[in-house]
Amino acid sequence: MGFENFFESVFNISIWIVAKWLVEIALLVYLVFAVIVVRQVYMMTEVVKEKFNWIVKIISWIHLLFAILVIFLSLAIL
Amino acid sequence: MADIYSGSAKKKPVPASSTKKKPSSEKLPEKTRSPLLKEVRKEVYDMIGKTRNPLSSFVARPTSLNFETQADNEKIILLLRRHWITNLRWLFFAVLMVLAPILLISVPLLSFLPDRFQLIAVLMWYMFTTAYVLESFLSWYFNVYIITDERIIDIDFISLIYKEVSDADIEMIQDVTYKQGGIVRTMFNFGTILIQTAAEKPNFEFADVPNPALVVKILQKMRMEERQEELEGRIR
Repeated sequence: MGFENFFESVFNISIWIVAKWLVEIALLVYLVFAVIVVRQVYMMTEVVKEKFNWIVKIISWIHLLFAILVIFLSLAIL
Repeated sequence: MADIYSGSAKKKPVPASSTKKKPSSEKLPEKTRSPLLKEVRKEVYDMIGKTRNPLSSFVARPTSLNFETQADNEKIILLLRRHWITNLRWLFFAVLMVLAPILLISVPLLSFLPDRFQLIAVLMWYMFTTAYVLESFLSWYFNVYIITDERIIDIDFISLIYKEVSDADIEMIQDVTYKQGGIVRTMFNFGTILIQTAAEKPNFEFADVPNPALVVKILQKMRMEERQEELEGRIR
């Protein structure tokens, strides 16, 4: 009997369901981090204002978007 | 004799709002600057030249850059970041992190997971890699040391949402030393400048900045200029 079956027989729930929700929690924590990064970039660009700061801002928004997309993808396929 | 104690010789009371020292560029507008002051400033400009690359770690007289607490007439002489070579470490780790999932083809470490979990694991790995690269870059790009014609400013972003901005007037600088040791620092000509001031923050550290000897020289010139400005301000 593999660990997968053992877990299912003891807790009466599939291990992959548990794993899915652990992954979702981890991704939500990461999403919060990505939001903080955007906030941080805005704070930094306020302190040191340079004409190329918009590039850094866009990168931080892409990073946040990426984090959101991965959450949706994980909800869809896991 | 009586004139000394009365009339024009008496000090006028200073209003509380004007006790803060005005920037010297207000004290002495460009037109009224003496030839000596102009000469000193020209020497400084000749020494540093002008930098156009915003990603440089030694940005001389930037035109498209200003900072939060900059006064209207304050000019940035130098903006310094850590030498670019100090970025090699995180860049090396970033490249390793980007390439790491390729190893999974020959070493199937995640084979115990279903395919869909493997895909999400790889995506999460790349998210962490992006975060690592972004944080390292932001830390290098925005932790800057600025020398203006009035002040030195040290802008530090210590953690994600904590910033520390310290400044000291140039005339408050008491002692400037620099350290440059080791093979890499000597080869690439960068080092750490320690500035002791009589300001609220007694020590400023410009860590791993390029060309520290030149920066120290610039600071000397700026201090000389500031002393001369004070002297001329008193005479006028």
